[in-house]
Amino acid sequence: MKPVSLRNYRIFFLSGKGGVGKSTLSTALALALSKRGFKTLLVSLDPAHSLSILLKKGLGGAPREVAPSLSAFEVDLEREMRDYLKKVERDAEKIISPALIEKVKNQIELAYNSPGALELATVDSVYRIVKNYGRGFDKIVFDTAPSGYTVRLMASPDKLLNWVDSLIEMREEALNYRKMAGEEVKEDPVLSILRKRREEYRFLGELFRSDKTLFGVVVNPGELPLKIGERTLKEIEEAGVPVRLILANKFREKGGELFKKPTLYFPPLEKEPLGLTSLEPLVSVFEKYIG
Amino acid sequence: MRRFLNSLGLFFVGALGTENATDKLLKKARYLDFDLLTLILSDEIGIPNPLYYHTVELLPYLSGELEAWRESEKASILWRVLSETGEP
Ligand SMILES: Nc1ncnc2c1ncn2[C@@H]1O[C@H](COP(=O)(O)OP(=O)(O)OP(=O)(O)O)[C@@H](O)[C@H]1O
Ligand SMILES: [Mg+2]
Repeated sequence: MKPVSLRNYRIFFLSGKGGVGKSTLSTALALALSKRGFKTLLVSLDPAHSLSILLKKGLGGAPREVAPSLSAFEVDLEREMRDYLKKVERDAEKIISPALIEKVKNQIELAYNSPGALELATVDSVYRIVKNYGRGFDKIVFDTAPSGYTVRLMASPDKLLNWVDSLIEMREEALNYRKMAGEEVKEDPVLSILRKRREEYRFLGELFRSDKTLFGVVVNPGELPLKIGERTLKEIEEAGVPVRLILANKFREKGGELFKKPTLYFPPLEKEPLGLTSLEPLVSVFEKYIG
Repeated sequence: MRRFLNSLGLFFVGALGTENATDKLLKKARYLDFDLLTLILSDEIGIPNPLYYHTVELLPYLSGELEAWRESEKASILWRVLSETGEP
């Protein structure tokens, strides 16, 4: 199998179970890319703010330069969810009668804990970040990829797009009847929301399957960790997204390809890596494969 | 039970007015709005909506019909069950 050439990719997602080293390796990868002169953005979608701890730098909700050619920021997903649902509530307050508003607000608030909410908030952030910063940066590295389930939902957009299309058709038909009945039909917020979502799903489907996007799976040594890693890989690939790289982390010895994929081996470091310089041995592995 | 259902039916006819062409069109539009609500709130009839977090954004513009929708959902489920079990 051909060795990977990391320079060929623009967007990087590292998957893997808890604690395998996703944050550590995405930071090392972003650093390696920036050292080669690529203007790189490192984004953490992790609620635990691990990135600012790892970088030993306070990070905010906007990109901040942490090294030459390298900017980083942390997305506060819970806050994103709150802001979004607050806006939905404000929209409701403008329209709904006071007698009904409490019931509707309760209905809206159910969305915080609805199944998949955090996952959907994650892909909303990915969408916004790639749209907003894709032009300003050569490479974007996401610490922690959306889960297999979400990838599946977003990477097979045909089903999703058909679904939204049928909602759009239903709404258009309803507006048509209203028009025929002599009602004045203005710009319809329902249609514009549905069309925006459609564009988001289309964009993400393309992004996840693009040959400029790299999905990598981080694994640790040991029979069980490897089994778990293989399952993660299968989940992503069954969603129609090719896994292009295995990142074998904390391996004392280099081996061959794992799961028949190009594999990079990262040694266990003496002590917990904190701060950019401590990542150097991991950065140098990536640098060899930038090409 | 039947009397209850009949009065429910009358309630809907009443709410929608007597049937002229315009009313018919508006009724069709309204049922389509109900269908949209059914998709968004499918959880209430036992089928989870994996996209609730996204579709909730539409609620402000549809929930003027929320109460009517709930009644109509209940009524249609009741009709379906009664058609299977027969009436008490
Ligand atoms: N190659 C390595 N050598 C030594 N320690 C490592 C190595 N890679 C990661 N670690 C350490 O392992 C722990 C977990 O790493 P990290 O936080 O990067 O994992 P993660 O996959 O991002 O975890 P989470 O799922 O919680 O976000 C950290 O303490 C980190 O410093
Ligand atoms: Mg992490």
